[in-house]
Amino acid sequence: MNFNFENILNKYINTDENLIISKTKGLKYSDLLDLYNKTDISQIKPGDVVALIGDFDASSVVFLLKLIDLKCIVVPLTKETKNEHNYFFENAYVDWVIEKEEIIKFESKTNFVNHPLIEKLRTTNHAGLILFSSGTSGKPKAILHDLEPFFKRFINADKKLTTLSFLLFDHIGGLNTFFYSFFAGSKIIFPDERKPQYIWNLIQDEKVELLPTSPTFLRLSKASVDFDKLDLTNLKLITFGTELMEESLLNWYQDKFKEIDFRQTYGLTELGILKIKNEKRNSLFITIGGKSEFKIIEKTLHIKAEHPMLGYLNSKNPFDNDGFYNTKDLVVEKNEYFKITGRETDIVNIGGIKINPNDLEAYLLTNKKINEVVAYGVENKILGQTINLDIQIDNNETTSKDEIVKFILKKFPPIYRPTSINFVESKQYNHRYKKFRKNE
Amino acid sequence: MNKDKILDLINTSIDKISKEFDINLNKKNDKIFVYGENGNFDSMMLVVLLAEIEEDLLLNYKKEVSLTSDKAMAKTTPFESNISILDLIIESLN
Repeated sequence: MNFNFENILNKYINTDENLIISKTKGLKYSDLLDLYNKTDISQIKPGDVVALIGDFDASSVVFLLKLIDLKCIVVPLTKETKNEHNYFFENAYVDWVIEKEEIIKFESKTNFVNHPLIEKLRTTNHAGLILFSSGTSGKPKAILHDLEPFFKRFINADKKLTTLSFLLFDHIGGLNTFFYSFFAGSKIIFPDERKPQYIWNLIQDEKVELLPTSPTFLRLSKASVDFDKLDLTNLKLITFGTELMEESLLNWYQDKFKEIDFRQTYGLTELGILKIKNEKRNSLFITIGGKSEFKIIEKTLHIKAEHPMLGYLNSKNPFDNDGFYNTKDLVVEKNEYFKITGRETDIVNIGGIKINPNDLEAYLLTNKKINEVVAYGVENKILGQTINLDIQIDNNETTSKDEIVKFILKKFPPIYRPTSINFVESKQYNHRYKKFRKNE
Repeated sequence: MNKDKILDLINTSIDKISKEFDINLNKKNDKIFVYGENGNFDSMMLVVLLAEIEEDLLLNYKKEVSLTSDKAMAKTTPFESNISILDLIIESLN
Protein backbone atom coordinates (compact mmCIF):
# COMPACT_ATOMS: atom_id res chain seq x y z
CA MET A 1 0.00 0.00 0.00
CA ASN A 2 1.67 3.18 -1.15
CA PHE A 3 0.51 5.57 1.52
CA ASN A 4 1.13 6.36 5.09
CA PHE A 5 -0.78 8.65 7.36
CA GLU A 6 2.14 10.98 7.89
CA ASN A 7 2.02 11.81 4.15
CA ILE A 8 -1.73 12.38 4.22
CA LEU A 9 -1.39 14.73 7.19
CA ASN A 10 1.28 16.62 5.27
CA LYS A 11 -0.97 16.76 2.18
CA TYR A 12 -3.72 18.57 4.10
CA ILE A 13 -1.39 20.58 6.32
CA ASN A 14 -2.60 23.90 4.95
CA THR A 15 -6.28 23.03 5.29
CA ASP A 16 -7.53 25.58 7.72
CA GLU A 17 -10.79 23.84 8.54
CA ASN A 18 -11.28 21.52 11.46
CA LEU A 19 -11.05 17.85 10.57
CA ILE A 20 -12.59 16.59 13.78
CA ILE A 21 -14.96 18.22 16.18
CA SER A 22 -15.12 16.23 19.35
CA LYS A 23 -15.71 17.04 23.00
CA THR A 24 -16.60 20.58 21.89
CA LYS A 25 -13.04 21.04 20.56
CA GLY A 26 -11.92 21.36 16.98
CA LEU A 27 -8.87 19.58 15.58
CA LYS A 28 -7.07 20.47 12.38
CA TYR A 29 -4.76 18.23 10.32
CA SER A 30 -1.90 20.44 11.45
CA ASP A 31 -2.73 19.72 15.12
CA LEU A 32 -2.61 16.01 14.38
CA LEU A 33 0.67 16.23 12.44
CA ASP A 34 2.23 18.19 15.24
CA LEU A 35 1.19 15.57 17.77
CA TYR A 36 2.19 12.77 15.34
CA ASN A 37 5.77 14.05 15.32
CA LYS A 38 5.89 14.40 19.09
CA THR A 39 4.45 10.95 19.93
CA ASP A 40 7.03 8.29 20.71
CA ILE A 41 6.16 4.61 20.16
CA SER A 42 9.74 3.43 19.59
CA GLN A 43 9.44 0.54 22.04
CA ILE A 44 6.73 -1.07 19.89
CA LYS A 45 7.81 -3.23 16.91
CA PRO A 46 6.07 -3.90 13.57
CA GLY A 47 3.64 -6.81 13.92
CA ASP A 48 3.01 -6.24 17.65
CA VAL A 49 -0.59 -6.41 18.82
CA VAL A 50 -1.52 -3.18 20.58
CA ALA A 51 -4.73 -2.49 22.50
CA LEU A 52 -5.54 1.19 22.22
CA ILE A 53 -8.09 2.40 24.75
CA GLY A 54 -9.46 5.72 23.62
CA ASP A 55 -11.95 7.67 21.59
CA PHE A 56 -11.83 9.93 18.55
CA ASP A 57 -9.69 12.46 20.43
CA ALA A 58 -6.34 13.84 19.26
CA SER A 59 -4.11 11.49 21.24
CA SER A 60 -6.01 8.26 20.37
CA VAL A 61 -6.26 9.20 16.70
CA VAL A 62 -2.52 9.92 16.50
CA PHE A 63 -1.62 6.64 18.22
CA LEU A 64 -3.95 4.81 15.82
CA LEU A 65 -2.31 6.41 12.77
CA LYS A 66 1.23 5.83 14.02
CA LEU A 67 0.55 2.18 14.90
CA ILE A 68 -0.92 1.54 11.45
CA ASP A 69 2.05 3.27 9.79
CA LEU A 70 4.35 0.99 11.82
CA LYS A 71 2.34 -2.08 10.55
CA CYS A 72 1.09 -3.07 13.97
CA ILE A 73 -2.11 -4.98 14.70
CA VAL A 74 -4.39 -2.54 16.52
CA VAL A 75 -7.19 -3.41 18.94
CA PRO A 76 -9.23 -0.21 19.40
CA LEU A 77 -11.22 -0.26 22.65
CA THR A 78 -13.28 2.26 24.60
CA LYS A 79 -13.52 2.86 28.33
CA GLU A 80 -17.21 1.89 28.17
CA THR A 81 -16.16 -1.79 27.95
CA LYS A 82 -13.63 -1.56 30.80
CA ASN A 83 -14.99 -4.62 32.61
CA GLU A 84 -14.18 -6.77 29.60
CA HIS A 85 -10.73 -5.36 28.82
CA ASN A 86 -8.80 -8.24 30.32
CA TYR A 87 -10.85 -10.72 28.32
CA PHE A 88 -10.15 -8.64 25.20
CA PHE A 89 -6.40 -8.45 25.90
CA GLU A 90 -6.15 -12.21 26.37
CA ASN A 91 -8.29 -13.12 23.37
CA ALA A 92 -6.54 -10.67 21.02
CA TYR A 93 -3.05 -11.89 22.03
CA VAL A 94 -2.15 -8.34 23.03
CA ASP A 95 1.54 -7.36 23.50
CA TRP A 96 1.00 -3.73 24.55
CA VAL A 97 -1.76 -1.61 26.06
CA ILE A 98 -1.97 2.12 25.44
CA GLU A 99 -4.21 4.09 27.77
CA LYS A 100 -4.07 7.78 28.63
CA GLU A 101 -0.93 8.16 26.50
CA GLU A 102 0.93 5.54 28.55
CA ILE A 103 2.39 2.46 26.84
CA ILE A 104 2.35 -0.63 29.06
CA LYS A 105 3.65 -4.13 28.25
CA PHE A 106 0.92 -6.75 28.64
CA GLU A 107 1.90 -10.11 30.11
CA SER A 108 -0.64 -12.76 29.18
CA LYS A 109 -1.65 -15.32 31.76
CA THR A 110 -3.03 -17.78 29.22
CA ASN A 111 -1.52 -17.32 25.75
CA PHE A 112 2.13 -18.30 25.58
CA VAL A 113 2.22 -19.01 21.85
CA ASN A 114 0.93 -16.78 19.11
CA HIS A 115 -2.18 -17.44 17.09
CA PRO A 116 -1.42 -18.83 13.60
CA LEU A 117 -3.61 -16.17 11.92
CA ILE A 118 -1.62 -13.40 13.61
CA GLU A 119 1.65 -15.08 12.59
CA LYS A 120 0.40 -15.33 9.01
CA LEU A 121 -0.54 -11.64 8.93
CA ARG A 122 2.90 -10.68 10.30
CA THR A 123 4.65 -12.43 7.39
CA THR A 124 2.83 -10.11 4.94
CA ASN A 125 4.06 -6.97 6.74
CA HIS A 126 0.52 -5.55 6.66
CA ALA A 127 -1.10 -3.63 9.48
CA GLY A 128 -4.01 -5.44 11.14
CA LEU A 129 -7.15 -4.69 13.08
CA ILE A 130 -8.86 -6.75 15.79
CA LEU A 131 -12.45 -5.90 16.67
CA PHE A 132 -14.79 -7.71 19.03
CA SER A 133 -18.34 -8.80 18.28
CA SER A 134 -20.95 -7.44 20.70
CA GLY A 135 -21.29 -10.81 22.43
CA THR A 136 -25.09 -10.80 22.43
CA SER A 137 -25.07 -14.50 21.54
CA GLY A 138 -22.21 -15.78 23.66
CA LYS A 139 -18.73 -14.49 24.48
CA PRO A 140 -17.45 -11.64 22.26
CA LYS A 141 -15.49 -12.99 19.30
CA ALA A 142 -12.09 -11.56 18.32
CA ILE A 143 -12.28 -10.65 14.62
CA LEU A 144 -8.96 -10.20 12.79
CA HIS A 145 -8.76 -8.08 9.64
CA ASP A 146 -5.87 -7.35 7.30
CA LEU A 147 -5.90 -3.53 6.99
CA GLU A 148 -4.35 -3.51 3.52
CA PRO A 149 -7.62 -4.31 1.67
CA PHE A 150 -9.60 -2.36 4.29
CA PHE A 151 -7.86 0.87 3.26
CA LYS A 152 -8.00 0.27 -0.52
CA ARG A 153 -11.48 1.73 -0.71
CA PHE A 154 -10.37 4.97 0.93
CA ILE A 155 -7.47 5.80 -1.38
CA ASN A 156 -9.74 7.57 -3.87
CA ALA A 157 -12.19 8.95 -1.30
CA ASP A 158 -13.40 12.24 -2.72
CA LYS A 159 -16.91 12.90 -1.44
CA LYS A 160 -16.45 15.76 0.98
CA LEU A 161 -19.46 15.65 3.25
CA THR A 162 -19.54 17.06 6.76
CA THR A 163 -20.48 13.95 8.73
CA LEU A 164 -21.89 13.36 12.17
CA SER A 165 -20.69 10.03 13.52
CA PHE A 166 -22.57 8.12 16.20
CA LEU A 167 -20.41 5.07 16.13
CA LEU A 168 -17.52 4.63 18.46
CA PHE A 169 -13.81 3.98 18.27
CA ASP A 170 -14.23 0.20 18.73
CA HIS A 171 -16.78 -0.26 15.92
CA ILE A 172 -16.04 -0.99 12.27
CA GLY A 173 -18.65 1.57 11.22
CA GLY A 174 -17.05 4.28 13.37
CA LEU A 175 -13.61 3.53 11.92
CA ASN A 176 -15.03 3.40 8.39
CA THR A 177 -16.66 6.82 8.77
CA PHE A 178 -13.54 8.29 10.35
CA PHE A 179 -11.09 6.97 7.73
CA TYR A 180 -13.30 7.91 4.78
CA SER A 181 -13.54 11.48 6.08
CA PHE A 182 -9.83 11.54 6.88
CA PHE A 183 -8.80 10.46 3.38
CA ALA A 184 -11.34 12.75 1.69
CA GLY A 185 -10.36 15.70 3.86
CA SER A 186 -13.87 16.32 5.15
CA LYS A 187 -15.07 17.39 8.56
CA ILE A 188 -16.38 14.81 10.99
CA ILE A 189 -18.29 15.54 14.19
CA PHE A 190 -18.32 13.21 17.19
CA PRO A 191 -21.17 14.22 19.50
CA ASP A 192 -20.67 14.47 23.25
CA GLU A 193 -24.10 13.01 23.90
CA ARG A 194 -26.64 11.14 21.86
CA LYS A 195 -30.03 12.56 22.88
CA PRO A 196 -32.14 13.31 19.79
CA GLN A 197 -32.71 17.03 20.44
CA TYR A 198 -28.97 17.61 21.07
CA ILE A 199 -28.01 15.71 17.91
CA TRP A 200 -30.47 17.57 15.68
CA ASN A 201 -29.32 20.94 17.07
CA LEU A 202 -25.74 19.90 16.32
CA ILE A 203 -26.72 18.91 12.78
CA GLN A 204 -28.20 22.38 12.31
CA ASP A 205 -25.33 24.31 13.97
CA GLU A 206 -22.46 22.41 12.35
CA LYS A 207 -24.20 22.30 8.95
CA VAL A 208 -23.97 18.51 8.85
CA GLU A 209 -24.51 16.96 5.42
CA LEU A 210 -24.39 13.24 6.21
CA LEU A 211 -26.00 11.49 9.18
CA PRO A 212 -25.32 7.76 9.50
CA THR A 213 -27.75 6.50 12.15
CA SER A 214 -30.16 3.76 13.25
CA PRO A 215 -33.94 3.31 12.90
CA THR A 216 -34.24 3.48 16.71
CA PHE A 217 -32.70 6.95 16.74
CA LEU A 218 -35.03 8.08 13.95
CA ARG A 219 -38.03 6.65 15.80
CA LEU A 220 -37.09 8.43 19.04
CA SER A 221 -36.48 11.65 17.15
CA LYS A 222 -39.88 11.50 15.50
CA ALA A 223 -41.48 11.20 18.94
CA SER A 224 -39.50 13.94 20.66
CA VAL A 225 -38.14 16.56 18.23
CA ASP A 226 -40.01 19.49 16.71
CA PHE A 227 -38.41 19.45 13.27
CA ASP A 228 -40.29 22.56 12.15
CA LYS A 229 -38.13 24.65 14.47
CA LEU A 230 -34.88 23.43 12.89
CA ASP A 231 -33.03 24.50 9.78
CA LEU A 232 -31.73 21.29 8.24
CA THR A 233 -31.15 22.60 4.73
CA ASN A 234 -27.53 21.37 4.69
CA LEU A 235 -28.47 17.78 5.44
CA LYS A 236 -28.26 15.82 2.18
CA LEU A 237 -28.10 12.18 3.18
CA ILE A 238 -29.30 10.01 6.06
CA THR A 239 -28.09 6.43 6.10
CA PHE A 240 -29.52 3.84 8.45
CA GLY A 241 -28.51 0.30 9.26
CA THR A 242 -27.73 -2.15 12.07
CA GLU A 243 -31.41 -3.09 12.59
CA LEU A 244 -34.76 -3.25 10.83
CA MET A 245 -36.48 -0.12 9.55
CA GLU A 246 -40.27 -0.19 9.31
CA GLU A 247 -41.73 1.26 6.11
CA SER A 248 -44.16 3.56 7.94
CA LEU A 249 -41.25 5.33 9.66
CA LEU A 250 -39.24 5.65 6.46
CA ASN A 251 -42.27 7.04 4.65
CA TRP A 252 -42.85 9.59 7.40
CA TYR A 253 -39.28 10.91 7.10
CA GLN A 254 -39.33 10.91 3.33
CA ASP A 255 -42.55 12.91 3.28
CA LYS A 256 -41.19 15.34 5.84
CA PHE A 257 -37.78 15.80 4.21
CA LYS A 258 -38.26 15.61 0.48
CA GLU A 259 -34.76 17.00 -0.26
CA ILE A 260 -32.92 14.44 1.87
CA ASP A 261 -31.83 11.13 0.42
CA PHE A 262 -32.43 8.16 2.73
CA ARG A 263 -30.34 5.07 2.16
CA GLN A 264 -30.11 1.76 3.91
CA THR A 265 -26.69 0.34 4.77
CA TYR A 266 -25.79 -3.21 5.67
CA GLY A 267 -22.66 -4.69 7.16
CA LEU A 268 -21.14 -7.16 9.53
CA THR A 269 -17.74 -6.83 11.20
CA GLU A 270 -16.81 -10.30 9.93
CA LEU A 271 -17.36 -9.25 6.32
CA GLY A 272 -15.58 -5.89 6.30
CA ILE A 273 -17.26 -2.99 4.56
CA LEU A 274 -19.74 -3.99 1.84
CA LYS A 275 -20.88 -1.91 -1.13
CA ILE A 276 -24.63 -1.55 -0.79
CA LYS A 277 -26.93 -0.41 -3.57
CA ASN A 278 -30.49 0.67 -2.82
CA GLU A 279 -33.19 -0.35 -5.30
CA LYS A 280 -34.71 3.14 -5.40
CA ARG A 281 -36.02 5.91 -3.19
CA ASN A 282 -38.77 4.75 -0.81
CA SER A 283 -37.63 1.15 -1.01
CA LEU A 284 -36.05 -1.01 1.64
CA PHE A 285 -34.75 -3.44 -0.99
CA ILE A 286 -30.97 -3.43 -1.35
CA THR A 287 -28.30 -5.46 -3.08
CA ILE A 288 -24.58 -6.02 -2.60
CA GLY A 289 -22.23 -4.66 -5.24
CA GLY A 290 -18.48 -4.73 -5.92
CA LYS A 291 -16.82 -8.11 -5.99
CA SER A 292 -18.82 -9.52 -3.10
CA GLU A 293 -21.44 -12.19 -3.80
CA PHE A 294 -24.56 -13.32 -1.99
CA LYS A 295 -27.00 -16.22 -2.08
CA ILE A 296 -30.23 -16.91 -0.26
CA ILE A 297 -30.74 -20.33 1.28
CA GLU A 298 -34.09 -21.02 2.95
CA LYS A 299 -34.78 -17.27 3.21
CA THR A 300 -31.44 -16.68 4.97
CA LEU A 301 -28.76 -14.41 3.53
CA HIS A 302 -25.28 -15.84 2.91
CA ILE A 303 -22.48 -13.52 1.77
CA LYS A 304 -19.06 -14.05 0.23
CA ALA A 305 -17.29 -10.75 0.88
CA GLU A 306 -14.50 -9.31 -1.25
CA HIS A 307 -12.37 -8.61 1.83
CA PRO A 308 -13.69 -10.59 4.77
CA MET A 309 -11.92 -11.02 8.09
CA LEU A 310 -8.94 -13.36 8.20
CA GLY A 311 -10.80 -15.25 10.90
CA TYR A 312 -11.77 -15.42 14.55
CA LEU A 313 -8.98 -15.74 17.12
CA ASN A 314 -11.19 -17.45 19.69
CA SER A 315 -13.84 -19.28 17.70
CA LYS A 316 -14.04 -21.69 14.80
CA ASN A 317 -14.03 -20.62 11.16
CA PRO A 318 -17.61 -19.58 10.21
CA PHE A 319 -17.14 -19.65 6.42
CA ASP A 320 -18.30 -22.58 4.29
CA ASN A 321 -16.02 -24.27 1.74
CA ASP A 322 -16.88 -21.67 -0.91
CA GLY A 323 -16.17 -18.75 1.44
CA PHE A 324 -19.80 -17.85 2.17
CA TYR A 325 -20.83 -16.59 5.62
CA ASN A 326 -24.29 -17.29 7.02
CA THR A 327 -25.50 -13.86 8.23
CA LYS A 328 -28.60 -15.39 9.94
CA ASP A 329 -30.56 -12.46 8.54
CA LEU A 330 -33.89 -13.42 7.03
CA VAL A 331 -34.73 -11.81 3.71
CA VAL A 332 -37.33 -11.65 0.98
CA GLU A 333 -36.10 -11.45 -2.62
CA LYS A 334 -37.12 -9.24 -5.52
CA ASN A 335 -35.04 -9.74 -8.69
CA GLU A 336 -31.43 -9.06 -7.69
CA TYR A 337 -32.52 -7.14 -4.58
CA PHE A 338 -33.47 -8.34 -1.12
CA LYS A 339 -35.11 -6.87 1.96
CA ILE A 340 -34.12 -7.83 5.50
CA THR A 341 -37.15 -9.04 7.46
CA GLY A 342 -35.59 -10.18 10.73
CA ARG A 343 -33.01 -12.34 12.45
CA GLU A 344 -33.21 -16.12 12.41
CA THR A 345 -32.51 -16.03 16.15
CA ASP A 346 -35.44 -13.64 16.81
CA ILE A 347 -38.03 -15.99 15.36
CA VAL A 348 -40.54 -17.16 17.96
CA ASN A 349 -41.83 -20.69 17.61
CA ILE A 350 -45.33 -20.99 19.05
CA GLY A 351 -46.59 -24.55 18.94
CA GLY A 352 -44.64 -25.17 15.72
CA ILE A 353 -45.80 -21.95 14.07
CA LYS A 354 -42.93 -19.57 13.39
CA ILE A 355 -43.59 -15.92 14.05
CA ASN A 356 -41.39 -12.98 13.19
CA PRO A 357 -41.66 -10.52 16.11
CA ASN A 358 -40.57 -7.69 13.81
CA ASP A 359 -43.94 -7.91 12.00
CA LEU A 360 -45.74 -7.30 15.27
CA GLU A 361 -43.37 -4.47 16.27
CA ALA A 362 -43.76 -2.71 12.92
CA TYR A 363 -47.57 -2.88 13.19
CA LEU A 364 -47.65 -1.70 16.82
CA LEU A 365 -45.49 1.30 15.91
CA THR A 366 -48.24 2.50 13.57
CA ASN A 367 -50.26 3.13 16.76
CA LYS A 368 -49.67 6.78 17.67
CA LYS A 369 -49.74 6.04 21.39
CA ILE A 370 -46.70 3.77 21.18
CA ASN A 371 -43.17 5.20 21.07
CA GLU A 372 -41.12 2.02 21.34
CA VAL A 373 -41.85 -1.68 21.43
CA VAL A 374 -39.86 -4.87 21.70
CA ALA A 375 -41.57 -8.21 20.98
CA TYR A 376 -39.75 -11.36 22.08
CA GLY A 377 -40.30 -15.02 22.74
CA VAL A 378 -40.51 -16.49 26.24
CA GLU A 379 -40.52 -20.14 27.17
CA ASN A 380 -43.90 -21.72 27.66
CA LYS A 381 -44.59 -25.25 28.90
CA ILE A 382 -47.62 -25.76 26.67
CA LEU A 383 -46.69 -24.12 23.36
CA GLY A 384 -42.89 -24.04 23.59
CA GLN A 385 -42.82 -20.27 23.35
CA THR A 386 -45.21 -17.33 23.47
CA ILE A 387 -44.78 -13.66 22.69
CA ASN A 388 -44.24 -10.98 25.32
CA LEU A 389 -44.13 -7.24 24.73
CA ASP A 390 -42.27 -4.39 26.36
CA ILE A 391 -43.99 -1.16 25.38
CA GLN A 392 -43.08 2.44 25.96
CA ILE A 393 -46.12 4.71 25.68
CA ASP A 394 -45.96 8.32 24.56
CA ASN A 395 -45.89 10.61 27.61
CA ASN A 396 -49.08 12.38 26.55
CA GLU A 397 -51.08 9.20 26.00
CA THR A 398 -52.76 6.53 28.08
CA THR A 399 -53.68 3.03 27.09
CA SER A 400 -54.32 -0.39 28.60
CA LYS A 401 -53.29 -3.95 28.03
CA ASP A 402 -56.77 -4.77 26.69
CA GLU A 403 -56.58 -1.92 24.19
CA ILE A 404 -53.21 -3.16 22.92
CA VAL A 405 -54.53 -6.73 22.60
CA LYS A 406 -57.58 -5.52 20.66
CA PHE A 407 -55.32 -3.53 18.37
CA ILE A 408 -53.17 -6.61 17.68
CA LEU A 409 -56.12 -8.93 17.04
CA LYS A 410 -57.56 -6.44 14.53
CA LYS A 411 -54.69 -7.39 12.23
CA PHE A 412 -53.14 -10.67 13.39
CA PRO A 413 -54.46 -14.18 14.16
CA PRO A 414 -54.75 -15.20 17.85
CA ILE A 415 -51.31 -16.84 17.85
CA TYR A 416 -49.78 -13.34 17.89
CA ARG A 417 -51.63 -12.44 21.07
CA PRO A 418 -48.94 -11.67 23.70
CA THR A 419 -49.26 -13.49 27.01
CA SER A 420 -47.68 -10.60 28.84
CA ILE A 421 -47.49 -6.87 28.11
CA ASN A 422 -45.12 -4.78 30.18
CA PHE A 423 -45.38 -1.02 30.13
CA VAL A 424 -41.83 0.25 30.54
CA GLU A 425 -40.35 3.69 30.97
CA SER A 426 -36.67 2.98 30.64
CA LYS A 427 -34.91 3.06 27.30
CA GLN A 428 -34.94 -0.10 25.23
CA TYR A 429 -31.84 0.59 23.20
CA ASN A 430 -28.09 0.52 23.81
CA HIS A 431 -25.45 3.27 23.52
CA ARG A 432 -25.35 2.64 19.77
CA TYR A 433 -29.10 3.30 19.51
CA LYS A 434 -29.84 -0.29 18.66
CA LYS A 435 -32.76 -2.13 20.24
CA PHE A 436 -32.13 -4.54 23.09
CA ARG A 437 -33.57 -7.96 22.42
CA LYS A 438 -34.36 -10.15 25.41
CA ASN A 439 -33.70 -13.45 23.66
CA GLU A 440 -30.27 -12.48 22.37
CA MET B 1 -57.94 -15.37 50.18
CA ASN B 2 -60.81 -17.80 50.00
CA LYS B 3 -61.86 -20.31 47.42
CA ASP B 4 -64.85 -18.28 46.18
CA LYS B 5 -62.70 -15.25 45.45
CA ILE B 6 -60.26 -17.36 43.43
CA LEU B 7 -63.12 -18.98 41.53
CA ASP B 8 -64.56 -15.53 40.78
CA LEU B 9 -61.17 -14.48 39.45
CA ILE B 10 -60.96 -17.59 37.24
CA ASN B 11 -64.50 -17.18 35.93
CA THR B 12 -63.95 -13.51 35.15
CA SER B 13 -60.80 -14.38 33.19
CA ILE B 14 -62.55 -17.20 31.29
CA ASP B 15 -65.36 -14.85 30.40
CA LYS B 16 -62.95 -12.14 29.26
CA ILE B 17 -60.79 -14.42 27.10
CA SER B 18 -63.81 -16.16 25.54
CA LYS B 19 -65.13 -12.75 24.48
CA GLU B 20 -61.73 -11.69 23.21
CA PHE B 21 -61.48 -14.76 20.96
CA ASP B 22 -65.21 -14.83 20.28
CA ILE B 23 -66.05 -18.37 21.42
CA ASN B 24 -69.06 -19.85 23.21
CA LEU B 25 -68.63 -21.34 26.64
CA ASN B 26 -69.80 -24.80 27.53
CA LYS B 27 -71.23 -24.72 31.07
CA LYS B 28 -72.77 -27.34 33.36
CA ASN B 29 -74.09 -25.90 36.65
CA ASP B 30 -71.11 -24.04 38.17
CA LYS B 31 -68.62 -25.84 35.98
CA ILE B 32 -67.26 -24.09 32.89
CA PHE B 33 -65.42 -26.37 30.50
CA VAL B 34 -62.16 -24.93 29.24
CA TYR B 35 -59.72 -27.27 27.50
CA GLY B 36 -60.33 -30.84 26.47
CA GLU B 37 -63.22 -32.91 25.22
CA ASN B 38 -65.98 -30.54 26.36
CA GLY B 39 -64.14 -27.22 26.32
CA ASN B 40 -64.02 -24.78 23.43
CA PHE B 41 -60.61 -23.25 24.16
CA ASP B 42 -57.77 -24.11 21.81
CA SER B 43 -54.17 -24.30 23.04
CA MET B 44 -53.41 -20.65 22.30
CA MET B 45 -56.51 -19.46 24.14
CA LEU B 46 -55.62 -21.73 27.05
CA VAL B 47 -52.11 -20.28 27.28
CA VAL B 48 -53.50 -16.75 27.23
CA LEU B 49 -56.09 -17.64 29.89
CA LEU B 50 -53.47 -19.17 32.19
CA ALA B 51 -51.20 -16.16 31.79
CA GLU B 52 -54.15 -13.87 32.56
CA ILE B 53 -55.05 -15.79 35.72
CA GLU B 54 -51.42 -15.86 36.90
CA GLU B 55 -51.12 -12.11 36.33
CA ASP B 56 -54.40 -11.36 38.16
CA LEU B 57 -53.34 -13.46 41.15
CA LEU B 58 -50.08 -11.57 41.30
CA LEU B 59 -51.57 -8.11 40.84
CA ASN B 60 -54.61 -8.50 43.09
CA TYR B 61 -53.39 -10.91 45.77
CA LYS B 62 -49.57 -10.77 45.49
CA LYS B 63 -49.55 -14.53 44.95
CA GLU B 64 -47.09 -15.98 42.47
CA VAL B 65 -48.47 -19.16 40.97
CA SER B 66 -47.28 -21.18 37.99
CA LEU B 67 -50.14 -23.03 36.37
CA THR B 68 -47.77 -24.79 33.99
CA SER B 69 -45.31 -26.13 36.57
CA ASP B 70 -44.06 -29.69 36.11
CA LYS B 71 -46.37 -30.75 38.93
CA ALA B 72 -49.42 -29.19 37.29
CA MET B 73 -48.54 -30.57 33.87
CA ALA B 74 -48.17 -34.09 35.30
CA LYS B 75 -51.86 -34.19 36.25
CA THR B 76 -54.58 -35.69 34.08
CA THR B 77 -56.61 -32.95 32.35
CA PRO B 78 -55.46 -30.12 34.66
CA PHE B 79 -57.15 -27.46 32.53
CA GLU B 80 -60.42 -29.26 31.86
CA SER B 81 -62.54 -26.66 33.65
CA ASN B 82 -62.66 -23.68 36.00
CA ILE B 83 -62.86 -26.17 38.87
CA SER B 84 -59.74 -28.12 37.89
CA ILE B 85 -57.84 -24.83 37.50
CA LEU B 86 -59.10 -23.78 40.94
CA ASP B 87 -57.75 -27.04 42.37
CA LEU B 88 -54.34 -26.33 40.82
CA ILE B 89 -54.21 -22.89 42.40
CA ILE B 90 -55.34 -24.09 45.85
CA GLU B 91 -52.74 -26.85 45.74
CA SER B 92 -50.05 -24.46 44.68
CA LEU B 93 -50.90 -21.99 47.47
CA ASN B 94 -50.85 -24.64 50.20
